[in-house]
Amino acid sequence: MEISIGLIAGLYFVIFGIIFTVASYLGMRRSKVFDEYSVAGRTIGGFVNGLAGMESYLSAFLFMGMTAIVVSMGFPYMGTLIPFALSIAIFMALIGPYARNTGARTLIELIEARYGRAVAYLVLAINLLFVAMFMIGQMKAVGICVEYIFGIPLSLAIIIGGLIVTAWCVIGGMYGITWSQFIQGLVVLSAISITAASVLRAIGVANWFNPYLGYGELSPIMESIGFFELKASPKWYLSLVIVGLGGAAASPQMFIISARAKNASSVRWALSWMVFFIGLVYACAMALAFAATYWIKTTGIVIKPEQADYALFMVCDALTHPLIAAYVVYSSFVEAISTITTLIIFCGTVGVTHVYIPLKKLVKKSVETSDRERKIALAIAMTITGIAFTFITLSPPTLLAIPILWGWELLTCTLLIPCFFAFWWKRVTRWGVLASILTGAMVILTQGWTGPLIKLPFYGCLVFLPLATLVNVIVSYLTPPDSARTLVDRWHGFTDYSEKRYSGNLLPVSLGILSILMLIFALIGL
Amino acid sequence: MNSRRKTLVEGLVTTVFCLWCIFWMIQPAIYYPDIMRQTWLGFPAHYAFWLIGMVIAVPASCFIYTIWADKRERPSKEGE
Repeated sequence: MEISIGLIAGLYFVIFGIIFTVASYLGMRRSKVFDEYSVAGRTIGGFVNGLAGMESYLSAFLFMGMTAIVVSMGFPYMGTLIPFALSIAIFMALIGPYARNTGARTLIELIEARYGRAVAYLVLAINLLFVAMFMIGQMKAVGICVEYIFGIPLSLAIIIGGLIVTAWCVIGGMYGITWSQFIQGLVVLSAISITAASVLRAIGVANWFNPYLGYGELSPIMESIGFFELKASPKWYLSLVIVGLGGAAASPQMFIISARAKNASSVRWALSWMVFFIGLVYACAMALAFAATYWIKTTGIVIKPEQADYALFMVCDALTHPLIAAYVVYSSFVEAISTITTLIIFCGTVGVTHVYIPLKKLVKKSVETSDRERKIALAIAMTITGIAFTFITLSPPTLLAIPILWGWELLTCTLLIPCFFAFWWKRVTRWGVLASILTGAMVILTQGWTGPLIKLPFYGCLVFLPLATLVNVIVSYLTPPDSARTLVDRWHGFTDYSEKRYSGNLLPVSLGILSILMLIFALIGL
Repeated sequence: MNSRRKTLVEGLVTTVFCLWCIFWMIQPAIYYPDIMRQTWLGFPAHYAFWLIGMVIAVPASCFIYTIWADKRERPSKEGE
């Protein structure tokens, strides 16, 4: 009797669904006050936060988006994974632990403390745009998995998947989300290792039992089918590297990992574990993309553009045991939901702290918002966010990786340097940051969803990141220093204050020169 | 060591750490495409470098950096 992959994946869906529901219920019982509901009472240890963080960070781009795009673009695109892994190391060294010392729950609170309310609301708008781009890709992935498992139309699948994920968020809060993400991390680590080994074995690789390196023996064949050939210009690849390196380091997901950690040291441990786990997962992801391309090329199967997101499922369906193929389908689902849950709680929290409470103060002056009221407001805000994005995704893009990369690019150009300067350059001013964010945001004019209005033969961040950095440095020098600079010493852990600390000219001048060189490189030959 | 020197050391170590990590990302691009025809562990050599960077070099560097940072950690009112 032939076993249906959809049926097995459906069983995984039910079994793990019960586990995540229990985690959410336990999270609900633990979340008595707003801080416990929104940032798990800042009690999450390094190891759990690291694996949970990996899960919230990776997203559906890992299984489906990456395989789809490598099948279309060949090996050089796999190089984009490396900056995505490195961005965590950069975040760990330059931003993460200090962000924890600020005591902020979200990136928006941090920006408000350092650069004032006007900049915070601008950053909020940028973040919501990013969340929209990112969430659409993830919701589409959820829909694809539910569609594949239950054989229902994609639109209905998106609605069902979106509502389930929203319910888990609202019930469990940050505790439920973190515990679920930890379990989801174990699922993904095991799924990708087992699947990579299984696919390699099926296509006859001798070292299939070592999926991290075993696929190296395919290289001569892959070279002969043109897998390693560059399909775009060096500028295009460099711009993509910048997207991966910068966007992730300024993303709301990363700040949530900081916010829910016990302390700065715990943030570093969490991010170190995260880099390690992601290294393992990415090595297997490369094996899968390698093997999937090999199988598709050697069997002569033609993957249409609209089918590319399903490429991994097709390969696993053909080459692995149904139990494993179903596990991959389910793992893709958990990859997407873990990112969605993080973004939903981010939107909910900023909805309470930066929309609901200020509006209430405006309408009923001097009325305090109780902890219980904030908790209820957060639950309502998360529900609205989840439902809204579910319905926005009903007309999804062709490839889910495309809006995800646009989102990263937007964050790179607008928020990377302001986040970095917030901790490392006291002289930066709110006017400098404001001008830099507005300059960086112009990158959307180069993205597909605006036309693009400015056509560049590479990702626009190669122009707008250095431009925004230059504007930031110049305007900051021209405007008076902010009083909030006195916070910087405390965020670095100093108990005393010294004006000289983090005030030197070396950093801004070096970045300014680097930006000019980058701009020249980008613009020459256009 | 006075406070300003401590800050400089901290900045220097952090910068070196970041540059070291970035090195693992860009070095295949530095050698590309001349190294393309060479193989190591069966892979095109630049690709093997990437793998080693991702799975071993960068994670190990992160743990070492974390241990170093823990030793020099200053108490923080919010963080502790």
